[in-house]
Amino acid sequence: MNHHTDQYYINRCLEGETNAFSYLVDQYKDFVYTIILRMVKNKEWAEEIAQDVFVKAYTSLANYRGDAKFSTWLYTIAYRKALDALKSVKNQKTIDFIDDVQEGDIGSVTDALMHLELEERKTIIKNSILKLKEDEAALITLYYFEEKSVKEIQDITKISVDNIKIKLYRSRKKLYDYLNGYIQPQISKPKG
Amino acid sequence: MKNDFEDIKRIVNEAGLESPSSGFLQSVMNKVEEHSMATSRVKYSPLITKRGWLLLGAIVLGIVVSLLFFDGSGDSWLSAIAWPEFSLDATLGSKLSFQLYNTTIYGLVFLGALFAIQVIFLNQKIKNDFSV
Repeated sequence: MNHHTDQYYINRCLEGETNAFSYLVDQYKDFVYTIILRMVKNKEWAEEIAQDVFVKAYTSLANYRGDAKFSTWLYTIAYRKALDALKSVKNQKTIDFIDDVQEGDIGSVTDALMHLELEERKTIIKNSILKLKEDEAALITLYYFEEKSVKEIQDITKISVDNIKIKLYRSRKKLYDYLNGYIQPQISKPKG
Repeated sequence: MKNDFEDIKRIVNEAGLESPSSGFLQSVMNKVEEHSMATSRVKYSPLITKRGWLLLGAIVLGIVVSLLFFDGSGDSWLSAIAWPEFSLDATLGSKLSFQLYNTTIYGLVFLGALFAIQVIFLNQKIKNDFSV
């Protein structure tokens, strides 16, 4: 992502060219939507929150000082909006893992995944990520997909570096647990 | 231990990103435009509200109707009030002089009072409109 390109459009927005903001929306809408969806686990709700995130970003654009990447600043807004939305919902539960994956089983989980069709594999992985708690899902997505550094993730989530590392470790393991939960019925399904 | 989760990155990347609905960009830009217009435009509000007009109309109507009950003869009720007498004579130099009659003085006093009242209301309105 070209930081300077973002700054060019930000400057144009601040000069009054509202339409310039559409570039930024188009650039980041998928990731913002994905991270919110993985936290709130509902598509319509996630889309509503994602829209609010961009409106908030637009109205606060004058506050963006350029110290951090625009993406980091935007994801901070997204993370906080998602958390605020979740706080307003009292009974939010996350389904716990089905089976505890041992270290030696991890290879078999990934091997089993490879034998599935691509679309099926994607669906299983997405559903497994959705099963994670909101902060875990966000950390996994930010660290492994967006390749944000631990320091950047700390800026976004305000979680300490040590906590981030611990949560990443735990969420990786949980993800394998969930994948295994999906994989096992698939493996034992009779073919033909 | 680290090797056990090496392919987690590949797995997460394989999940890819989700996309919002096709109208997402348009919805966001509509909201952004609305906000942009709302902050730049001064909201019009009439100086005299509908209720104010109704009241003024009622007062005028009341005065017109009440005039029907006065036949014009005899002294008016205004003349029954003991108005204080003013006189203001001034001579500016040997050639210029002027005299202010009661009517003029009353007019000036009421104009001053009206101005003072308007200043209070305008001050409050400006404070409300431009307060942060």
